[in-house]
Amino acid sequence: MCQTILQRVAAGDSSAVDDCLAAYGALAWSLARRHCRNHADAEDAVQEAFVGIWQAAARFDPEKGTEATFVTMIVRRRLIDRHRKTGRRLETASLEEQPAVAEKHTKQVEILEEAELVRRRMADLRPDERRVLELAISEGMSQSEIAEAMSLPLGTVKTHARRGLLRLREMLEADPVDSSTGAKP
Amino acid sequence: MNDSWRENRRRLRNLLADRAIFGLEVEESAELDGLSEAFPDMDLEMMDRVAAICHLALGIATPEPLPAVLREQIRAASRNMLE
Repeated sequence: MCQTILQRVAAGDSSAVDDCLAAYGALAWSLARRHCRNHADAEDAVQEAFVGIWQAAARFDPEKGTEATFVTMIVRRRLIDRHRKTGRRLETASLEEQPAVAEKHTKQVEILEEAELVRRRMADLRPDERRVLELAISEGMSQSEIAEAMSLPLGTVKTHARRGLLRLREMLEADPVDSSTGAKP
Repeated sequence: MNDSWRENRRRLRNLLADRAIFGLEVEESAELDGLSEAFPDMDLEMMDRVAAICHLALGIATPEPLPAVLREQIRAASRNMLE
């Protein structure tokens, strides 16, 4: 059976490192650039994230999601941990600050296709739930910042975030994105 | 299943959601660790995966190439880890 890149990393196949960087380096870098204060901070975050990816690769289960999702999960954890330690929110770079677009690797095309499918499903969330998730996840805002921005009590923000995430999980379970192609099966 | 079991399971699920979206305080992490031992059947990364999928959907319209210098640094560091 053909192994995924992360399964090859877990098996100690050193060539898989290059494949992983080719497939997901731009993804990890783009997430870090978008949410780090500066270039140096983003570099540190991505280096830490890839250490985390090598360490966690054996846990990757293609039955539960795509490699892109797994890589994003590890990168997000590193970004959240770094920003909680420094007491800063995840800062979002403006699109104008972002330089050249990466040449699209096949995996990156799949990632973009998967993202589009999930975006459509997010549209089915209740507006407040969707907005809270957008502000928290995409803009990196804290609960109190979202409460202020949306004029909502802190507890309501937390409830919307939890419910939104749970509802999205239920939607994705009921109508999953195919883990090998990013398309609906 | 009694009320306490249900309440603890709900609390664990909420902590997993909070961790996935905002991260946890040290005390909350300890609480999550304790509850996760009581519910070994619970997929502890389920909420992290959904948050990651959301992040993919919301945040990467224009992927930016990994700088070559950084790529080499990661490759060099990985050699020590994987060999």
